[in-house]
Amino acid sequence: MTENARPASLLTFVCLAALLGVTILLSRLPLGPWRVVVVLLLAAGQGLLVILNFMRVRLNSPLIWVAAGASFLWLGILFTLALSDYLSRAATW
Amino acid sequence: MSESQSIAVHEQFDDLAQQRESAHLGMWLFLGTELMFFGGVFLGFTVYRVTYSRAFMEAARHLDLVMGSINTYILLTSSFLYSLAISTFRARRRGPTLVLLGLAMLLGIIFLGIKGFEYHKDWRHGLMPGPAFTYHGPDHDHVLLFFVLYFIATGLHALHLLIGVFATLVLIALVVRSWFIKDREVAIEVFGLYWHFVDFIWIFIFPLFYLLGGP
Repeated sequence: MTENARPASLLTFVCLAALLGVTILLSRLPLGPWRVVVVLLLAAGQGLLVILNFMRVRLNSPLIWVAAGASFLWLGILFTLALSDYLSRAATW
Repeated sequence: MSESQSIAVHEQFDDLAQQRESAHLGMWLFLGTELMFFGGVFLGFTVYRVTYSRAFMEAARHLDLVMGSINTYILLTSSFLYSLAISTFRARRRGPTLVLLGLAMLLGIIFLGIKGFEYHKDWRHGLMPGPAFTYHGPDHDHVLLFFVLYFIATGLHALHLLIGVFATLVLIALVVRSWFIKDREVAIEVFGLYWHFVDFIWIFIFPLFYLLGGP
């Protein structure tokens, strides 16, 4: 783990920097409604890299996986329930 | 303090591994509450972004994309340096650990400086909510709402980063004074989790506020 930590960190950093560059470039293109999807998916990719590699969840025990995952599960419930209300209101379309 | 004393397992734990896992678990539970906290801000923003889409896209064009992008790169780099610092600490290399932690902290301070400069620019352009808000374009109220959410989200993030900078300062002092103590490894790992989390939050603030306005 210790020996591999540095190259893994460097690779993660390079991927993060590249993803950020692509995100910024794509957000300047006229993608219409797809911009939101593309930009947020790329941001989620960056977030995942930080959680798994920088925060080392990937190398941690199942208990930490569950603790970290549970937060996102609750966040998912919050967003799903709230947005299923707002997005289904006729006035927003 | 001798090495054997320093790696002592506290009485409520079976071994060092369990002790370490408990520390990580505690930090993750705290970060879970933080995620809920910022999640509320993100949800509020998302709902208004959907509802007042045109006004929010117009408002986002007033933010400084160059400074926002530079700041995002700065935070990503600081996270990288922090993760290297944990590796060098594990290898018991005090010098590189101090340099890496110092640089990560410095980047955090530079981020705050650029953010402050950006706030000043927003204020000069009349975009700071309050008496100084002088935007008179279309959708005045909803553009104001965008900037209220922008200052809340970035302000709370900056506050978290400021706490992180002070925490890193404490950590540097710990490394200077007792870097050889083995179970300090947990302290630097747990502080690191917090630092990366602040970076993680910015990874979402940046696209939501700066990029979704469009070209």
